[in-house]
Amino acid sequence: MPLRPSMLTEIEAALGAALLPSLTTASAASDIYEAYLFSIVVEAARSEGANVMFECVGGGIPNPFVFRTSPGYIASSEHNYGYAVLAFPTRPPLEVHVGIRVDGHSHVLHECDVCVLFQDEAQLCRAKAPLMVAPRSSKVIVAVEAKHYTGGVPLHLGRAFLGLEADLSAECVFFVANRDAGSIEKLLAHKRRRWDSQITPLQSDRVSRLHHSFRNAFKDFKAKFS
Amino acid sequence: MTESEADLWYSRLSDFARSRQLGWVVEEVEAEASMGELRRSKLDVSEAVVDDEPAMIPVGLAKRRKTRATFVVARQFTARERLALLIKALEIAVSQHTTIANHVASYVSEQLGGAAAQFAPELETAEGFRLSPNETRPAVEAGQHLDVLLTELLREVEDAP
Repeated sequence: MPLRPSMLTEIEAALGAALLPSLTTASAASDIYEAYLFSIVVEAARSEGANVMFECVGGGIPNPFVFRTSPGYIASSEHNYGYAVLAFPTRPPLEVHVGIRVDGHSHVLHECDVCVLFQDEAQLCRAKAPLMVAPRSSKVIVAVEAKHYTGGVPLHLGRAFLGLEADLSAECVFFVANRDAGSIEKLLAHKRRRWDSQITPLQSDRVSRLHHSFRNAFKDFKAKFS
Repeated sequence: MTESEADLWYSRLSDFARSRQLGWVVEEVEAEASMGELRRSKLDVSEAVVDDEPAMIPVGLAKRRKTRATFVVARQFTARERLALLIKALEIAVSQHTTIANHVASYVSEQLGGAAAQFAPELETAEGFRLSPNETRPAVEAGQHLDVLLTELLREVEDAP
């Protein structure tokens, strides 16, 4: 069946109406994707029995909830950045942050797109402000490397992830992409690393699988600190 | 759809995307297209057979053995395949993205009594942005309509003989 002559005009009109003003750069899409994975991590903790509270660097309940759009320090007060506090009964409290720098084995600072760490480590870093202290990766429970791509996810990101994971002492480090990532999936499966792909609200089965992977990480945390 | 029609569609869609500040999507597609389609393929290879006295045999006269080995081979995309990559990328950049943005805006709003989600860089020179469900919900509906159109176009591209 030949295409309608008006097809291109219809696509242009629909695309214009669907386009959010914020979506003008690849980085904005990535920032929103990190926030989306933050919500999956928080909900996985809630499913595993955590009491969840939202706080911000300036204290109190965040309104608006401010996400970082560039890697930053956990104690930064440039904006009133928000984070989640996870309280598992009888276990040390945890915090979930987006886009913070953490200190690796080599003392190189790495960005964690989503980072779950001990609250006492986060508080220690904030207490040292205005000194910008980066939390130690040995205090990180879950780190997520988020990748949002419209075209193919380049293989070098998989290699970079292996390097990142090797330099972090975090318990669980995940590579998560919004679309299929053939070569990277092969590489990470071969290296027995944690990864998932095509994670979007439209893929409920895959989201559910990732949710369970995060739950397992919290289950292990609860067992170790019981 | 013929190859030349696919070229024309690619050109018009990518120009429109660039005019709506989606040039980064076109760039990602072009990076993917430049890699070509990778697949494993068994190819005939001819290897020199190592002799006890290799230095005694003149170049080109050494015994050779024919075998087959597996290689990773890159094949250039056709114009139709390249157009299909662009259509799928636009679907991800617009329809999928609005769904993710709506999820984030709704999540923050539900968890924090109607609060908006704000995105702010540490650098003062860079700009941030806000998301609220009032803004993202209509975009999701428009994105669903766009999805229908892009799927129709993709079918035309992929079903062409």
